[in-house]
Amino acid sequence: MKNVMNVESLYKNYGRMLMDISYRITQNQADSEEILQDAFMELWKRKPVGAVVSWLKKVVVNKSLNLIRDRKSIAIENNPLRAPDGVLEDKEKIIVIKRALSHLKPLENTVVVLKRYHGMSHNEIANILGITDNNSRIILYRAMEKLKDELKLYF
Amino acid sequence: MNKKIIDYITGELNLIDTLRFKWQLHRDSEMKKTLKKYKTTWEALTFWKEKIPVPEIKVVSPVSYRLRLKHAFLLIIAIIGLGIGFYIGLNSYISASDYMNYALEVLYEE
Repeated sequence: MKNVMNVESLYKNYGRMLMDISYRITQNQADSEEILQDAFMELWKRKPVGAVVSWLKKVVVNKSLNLIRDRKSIAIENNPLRAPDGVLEDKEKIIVIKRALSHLKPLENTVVVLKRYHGMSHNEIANILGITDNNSRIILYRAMEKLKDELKLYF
Repeated sequence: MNKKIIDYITGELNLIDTLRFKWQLHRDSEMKKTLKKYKTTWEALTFWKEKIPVPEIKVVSPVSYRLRLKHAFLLIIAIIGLGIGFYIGLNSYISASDYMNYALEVLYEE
């Protein structure tokens, strides 16, 4: 019974944050819901010892990353965008950003999401992705270079 | 140089490095331009602010003792039912065959 309460309170407190991570990486709500539920199922089965939240983040990020690696590309709405010189509405800006992120490599996309939208340090990102701090830094540099080129037409 | 700029934008520089970077920035106009470009990119990403609803998952609570007994109780009822049914069936078969035997005996006697 105590375990049930623990899982429930973890879900209530961290569900939104984990869902946000997954959604921004996969850019698909159904996929992110499935990943979130899988992560909590795994938590239920394995009962990890120690920092459960970090463990959950790791599981969610890696599951999302594997999904976009398998999918090869992220499906983005193909709404026609205005000419780059025109002023974009907020909705269109979001599409541009999503599209730019989807053009990055899965690992680059994940690092940008964790850094920009979740404010994680390179050390934290490195722990989650199983890479070194320096590697995380280099991946972000590369991603920023690509994003700069792609977004400069619209922003 | 670009790496330092990205580190500055993403808040990875410590206080001393930040001060040193700002001092460099003050002296280098080219660096200022590059910083502006990266900053625009970094800030553009904030436009994506969508909030998506978190699905509700119902955590299954353990089945109560009473509810767990339900299946055993139903099984016992079924076994008793089958027993009664078998008893009644057998009895009616026996009585029917007894009656047939009696009827045959009466027929032979006649």
